[in-house]
Parts: sequence; C-alpha cells; structure tokens
Amino acid sequence: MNEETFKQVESVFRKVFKRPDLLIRPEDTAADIAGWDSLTHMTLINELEIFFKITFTFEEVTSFKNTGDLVKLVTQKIS
Amino acid sequence: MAFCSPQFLIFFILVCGLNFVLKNPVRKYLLLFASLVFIGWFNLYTLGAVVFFSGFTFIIAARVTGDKNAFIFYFGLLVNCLAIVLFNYLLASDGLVIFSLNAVDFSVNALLLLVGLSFYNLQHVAYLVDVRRKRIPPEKNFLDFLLISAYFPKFISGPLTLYQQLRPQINWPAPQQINLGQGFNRMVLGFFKKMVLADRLAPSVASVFDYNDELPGITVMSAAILFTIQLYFDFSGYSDIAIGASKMLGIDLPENFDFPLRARSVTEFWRKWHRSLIHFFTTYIFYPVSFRYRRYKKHAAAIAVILTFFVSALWHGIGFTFMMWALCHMVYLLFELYVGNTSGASPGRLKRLVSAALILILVSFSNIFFRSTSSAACMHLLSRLFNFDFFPENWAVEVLAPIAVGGHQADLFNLVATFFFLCLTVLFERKIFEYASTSRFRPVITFLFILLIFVFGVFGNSQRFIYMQF
Amino acid sequence: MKTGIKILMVFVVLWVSLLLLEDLYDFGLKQNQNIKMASVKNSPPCTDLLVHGPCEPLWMISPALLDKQTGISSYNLALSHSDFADNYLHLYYYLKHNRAPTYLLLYVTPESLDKHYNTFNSYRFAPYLEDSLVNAVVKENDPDYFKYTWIPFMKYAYYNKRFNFDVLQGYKHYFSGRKNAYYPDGFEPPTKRAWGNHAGEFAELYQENTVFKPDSLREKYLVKTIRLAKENHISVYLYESPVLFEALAFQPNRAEMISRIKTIAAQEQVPFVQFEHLAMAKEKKYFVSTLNFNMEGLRLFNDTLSRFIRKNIVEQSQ
Repeated sequence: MNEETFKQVESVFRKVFKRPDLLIRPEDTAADIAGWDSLTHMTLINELEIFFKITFTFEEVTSFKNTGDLVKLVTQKIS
Repeated sequence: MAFCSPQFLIFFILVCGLNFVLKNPVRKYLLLFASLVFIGWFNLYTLGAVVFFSGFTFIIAARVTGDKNAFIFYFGLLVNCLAIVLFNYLLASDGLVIFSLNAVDFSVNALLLLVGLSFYNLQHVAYLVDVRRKRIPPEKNFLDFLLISAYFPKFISGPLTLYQQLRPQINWPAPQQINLGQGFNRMVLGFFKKMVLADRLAPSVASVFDYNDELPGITVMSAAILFTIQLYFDFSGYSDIAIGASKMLGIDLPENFDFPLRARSVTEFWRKWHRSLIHFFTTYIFYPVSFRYRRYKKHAAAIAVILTFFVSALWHGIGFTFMMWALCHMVYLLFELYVGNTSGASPGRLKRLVSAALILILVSFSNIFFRSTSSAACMHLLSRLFNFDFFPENWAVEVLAPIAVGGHQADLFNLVATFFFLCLTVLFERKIFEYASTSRFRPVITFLFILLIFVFGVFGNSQRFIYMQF
Repeated sequence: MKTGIKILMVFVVLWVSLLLLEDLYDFGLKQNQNIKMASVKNSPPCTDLLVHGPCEPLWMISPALLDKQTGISSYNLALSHSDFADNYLHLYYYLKHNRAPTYLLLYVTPESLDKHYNTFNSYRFAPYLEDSLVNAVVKENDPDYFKYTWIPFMKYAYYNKRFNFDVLQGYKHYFSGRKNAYYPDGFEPPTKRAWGNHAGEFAELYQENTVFKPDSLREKYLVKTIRLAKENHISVYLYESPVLFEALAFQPNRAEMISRIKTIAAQEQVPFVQFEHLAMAKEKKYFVSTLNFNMEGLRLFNDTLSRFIRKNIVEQSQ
C-alpha cells in the first residue's frame, strides 16, 4: 500500500469527521471510526473524489470492506 | 401456522428430523415442499400468489441482465412494488377492495400472510436490481429460486434475505450437531422474548392505546416506551425463532437486531434495529440517491433520508400515522446529520445511560403514531401528552392501574413480574445472547428458560378478555 | 452424548417437572380462601338465600344489609365477568359441599344472553378438572383451552396471569391457617370511582344502537342453572336490578331480549322480577355505569330488595 496515499486519505478523513487527531488503520471499518456511517459515507466519497481528482462508480463505493481496500481503490484510480 | 403454535412445533420437528438425515438434492426439495406447505397452511390463495410472483420474477430476471430490455426490468419492479402497495392498501381499508381478486380471503390468517408478502416482494425487487447490475447472474433453476424466495423460517417476519445470501447455502450438506444445539438455544430464547416479555407487555400497551381514556401524559409516554420495548422483544423474538429454526436446518440467516435499546443516537438506533430491512433500504434507495447527489454533500444525505423514510412508511402501511412516524425519524436524523457530534470521544457511563434513555424516549414518541389504531386515536393521545395534566392527581388510578391493566393485587403482581424479567433481560442482554448463540447445548439453562415460558409466558387467545364489562 | 438426545432428555425432565408443578398449583389454588370455589368448600357458609350472577349482584347486593331486613341469612356467590355456565358450575360446586339454600336469586339482564358480554372464565375451574361435570362444561365452553389440558401444567400455563399470584396467596393462607375469605359473605363493595384500568367518572357501557344477539349456549346454561337449583329443592327467582333510564334508549332490541327471558322463566316456572321502574333508575347520581350502582345507590337498592324479599318471598313461603 502506498504510504503517501494512505496519509492523504487519512487527511481527508480528518477533514470530513472534523477530528484533526484521527488516526486510521487499514483494517478499520465504519464501526471503528466515530461519525463514519451511511449518512456521512457519500460526503467522504465526494471529498476523496475532489481531493484526488478521481471519480468512483457506485459499485466501487459500496463494495470496499475497510479503509485498506479504500486506499487501494484510490491508488488504482490515481495511477 | 404461527411460530408459537403446536402445529408449527410438530411440523418443524418433522422437517428438522428429515432434513438431518436426507442428502442434497432431496433435502432441498424437502425444504421447498415444507415451505409451500407452511404458506399453504394459511390459505391457498397466498400460496398461489407466492408461486406466481416467483415465476414472474424468475422469467423477468432471465431477460434483463445488463442494459437489455429496460422496459421489462421496470415492469418487473413495478409489479412487485404495486403488490406491496396493494396489499397494504387492502390492510388499511380492512379488506374493502377496489377491484375483486376473486375469492381472496380477508380473514385474520390471510392478513398475516399479506404482511409476509411485503417482505417477499421486496426480496424480488432486490433480486431484479442485482441481476440488472450484474452483481449476480440470473437463477437458472426455478425450484431453487422458489425455495430461496419462499423459505419458510423467514417468510412471515423476515429477516429480509437477499438472494445471494441464501443461494450458496441451499446446496450445503445436512446440518451438524453443532447447528442443532445453537439453533435450539436460539429458538428457546426467541420464544422466551416473545411469550414472556412481549406478550406480557401487550395488554398494558393496549390498555392505553386502544381506549379513549383521559389519561395523564406520563401514562401515555410510559405506554409508548413499553410499546417500543414490546415491539423490540416481539420482533427480535420472532427473528430469533426464525434464525434458530433455520440454523437447525443448516442455513444461516442474517442477524436482524444488535441491541438497539442501547443506541445513543437515532442514527445508531437504525444501525441496530431491523437491520435486514435497513440494509435493503440503504443498499437500494439511500446509497443510490446519496451517491447520485453526492456533490451536495450533507444535503444529498438529507434528500436520501427523506426519500428512504417515505418509502419505508409506505412499506409499513398506508396512512397518516405511518407518515407521521416517518416524519419524526426524518427530523431526528436530519438533526443529527447537521448538528451531530463526531468527536469520537468515549462518553462516560452516566452520559451513555442518559443518551440511551433520551433516544428511547424519542423513538417511543414516534411509535405513538406507529401504534395508534387511527388518526383520531393518535390525536387524542398526543393531546393528552401535551396538555397541562402531564402528571396525575392519583398515581395509582391514573398511571398504575392502566399499565397494570387493573387495580387488583394480582394485576400489580403480574406487572412486577413482567418488569422483573424485562429488567433482567435488558441488563444481561449480551450474556443471554451469547448463551443463545453458543454452540454448546446447555440443558440446565434451556430447561429453566422453557419452565419460565410455561409459568409466565402468554399462551391463551389474547382476544379472549378484550371485552370487559367492568 | 449427542445433542439430539440431550434435547430429548430436557423434555423428559421438563414433563416430569411440569406434572409436579401442576400438583403444587392444584393444592395452592384449593387453599386460597379468596377464590369462591375454594372458600365454599373450606369454610361453608350457612345460608338460606344465595345471590348469584356476574358483577352486578357481586358489587351491588350486600348480605349484611339484606339479612337485617329479611331475617334470613344470605351469601353472595356471584363472580365478576361470569356467564351462566360459570354460574352453573359454581352453584354445582357449592351444592356439592354445602347444605342447599332455600332460595336462589339469580341476576338476568339482556346482556346476560349475549356472548359478547361477560365470559366463561375457564381458569376458575382448572384445579377441578378431575370432576367429570366440570370437565364436560369446560370442554363445551372453552374448547380451545380444553384441548391442551392433557399436557402437564398447560391448564395453568394457558392462563398463567390468572394463577401465579393466587397460588402464592393460597400457600400463604395454608401456612397461616387462614380459613376465611377477605369478603366472608361474598359481597365485594364497588370502588368509588374508577373501574379496573379505565378511569372515568362514569363508565359508559353501551354505544348508540347496541343490538344484543342472543346466544344459544347462554340460554342453555341459564336453563341448566335453574334446573340444578330446582333439583335441589331451591326456589329460584330471576331478577334484574334497575338499569340507568337514559341507557335504555341505546338498546333498540331490549324488549325482544326481555321477552326471551320471560319466556324462559315461564317455561321453567320461575318468577322474573324487574326493578326497572324504580325512581332511582332515573338518577345518574346513584350509578357508576349504566348497570352498576355506587355505594349510595346500592344501599337504596338493597333496602328495596330486602323489603321485596321479606314480603314476596319469605312471608309468602311461610
């Protein structure tokens, strides 16, 4: 996993959930990160799209299982 | 046949026994036959409807993969959705039809199965959408498809199961001993929750909701809270029985509840309550809408919340009360969306308790609409809740007697017994769930639970004493 | 040991435990002096006049008030929410363990013949199902309940909300040596205001245009009750206490139902006495519902009733 991309994704998480000290791990899911739920999920997705200048498909945003998968997906899209 | 009936117990023992000894594909056909018998036991018209909708959806799905035949796809969705709306309309109008379906039986048993059909058609909607989006290939074997659709443990009350959750399992070998123990424990817990907790609370709730008494606000609110608890134990009890029965047959159904009474926000509540239905609404309505308008960020989620709950209200029933119930939750969720705190700091025990109590009150308030027998009854209850008589002059007569369904010592004793079991279950819910999910069969605990069901469970015809002269 | 066999063993132990528990409940309920089936056996009332029926006589006829004026002793055997089959079995059981009274005063009103009012309370007879007559009547009136009574303890499980407290109270009476009911003469005074769980100053009973539907089982057991009494040489008097006058307008087929009662009374050759024309019937201040009096009303009615009994029943038979 690209370390730099991971840190950038983490910075987006911090911005969306308004927690400057938030630390994410590759195995984290929505259950592990306070505030990350279905209500905020698409806001997070949109912020990632803006930050990385990518576009996700619906299938992609509903199929990743944890933040590790999400970072891999972002890495694929930007490369 | 209802789960809590001797007929079902005999039926299930037979099916379970045969299922244990048979091998696939005979085992599959046994489950299919048993499912059709289960549905047909209520009435044959419902069985006919189930077979019809299964056949219809099966044929449609074979033709709509990818971008092919958009018209056929939408037609298939429309028919399944109309079926849900139509049956709910029939329920709302007490069986008065706008057109005749020829000899459709509107007896109590038929109405019960019409509720089952709401779940059933929803599963077909999910199936068609998933086939269309190429998430799953269309089923080629109609009997397999019919089994997955009509599978009897989940038919009446869910859990709402997606095609892809069951498909891999129907060809599994027969269940192991481990499944029998786990499944049985789970079923016993389900019967306990339903008969000892939910059904004992039902008369207390009915005593407040079903009469036009001038009761103080605190009585109305107490009954609303009791209704929420009753609904939880009733529904989760049914789910436990369904999941347990299915486990004994070797098939895993998804969990439906995750201790929702401990939720500290309405958002969290909806992650823990009726999870299978919420998963459906999230996957097929909420996420598509919020994804499409994601550039509007929170507003996209707000639009999706409104639409999802509107559809949920229609699914539950057609009427003012369900719309008002949905409106309450829209307001709660939108408030949390725009004002909520995502600090992530772990709150203290007292704060957790206060939060959970507040959420219970908010959800219970919305359930006043959900439970009310009519708009007029609902308005009456709300007027009692919001006038100056919130607290009573005489607590024994205006609060205790309605909740205890009488003012005699025996009534108070029954109320105390009910609250005792309720408190114990809520306090030790996680431990009890662990026991019920354990693979090891525990004879002593099981024996005690069944004994409690006999001594404190509600068996008789609950309508027997509805009319009381005084 | 296989799980299936373990499950089976649990059910075997459960079966035996339920048989034992059933015996414990049988015993406890038969010791509870507040249950009339038990108290009429354990502490037999010595009585000349038996008052019988559902809530109306139970809450409105006081033997203490009657006996002062009539000069005879009376006992109130009435039971809340009971129909004639319920009354029949209580009379049967009373006569099984007590000297037969001279007179029986049985309450009958149009409601009594309609199965939507009152009910057969099968739970009252659960400890007595070994009696063949009790068994047959329960089977006829509550077949849904009866068909499961072969399962150990099911006769109590079916209506357990009715039993658990009474069993504990029965054992309390047994261990304390109590021999008298809380209401020794059977009469239960009406509460001042609220009835059961529906509080209200005045409890409305009839909706507009209430139409009574006569039920054949009700009529059958009314006849059986009368004949049981007559077989035991008891003089039977059917009566109806005053109905709130303004409620009569809400019963469009009252005349038809009264006519049915009179027909049965004539056929069984027993008098049917109506008190509907008393002046108190027009005064709402004496009533808590269309059929039930408050304390003031019941004193007035008991005064009228006892004079009637003395003049038309006791003195006539002497």
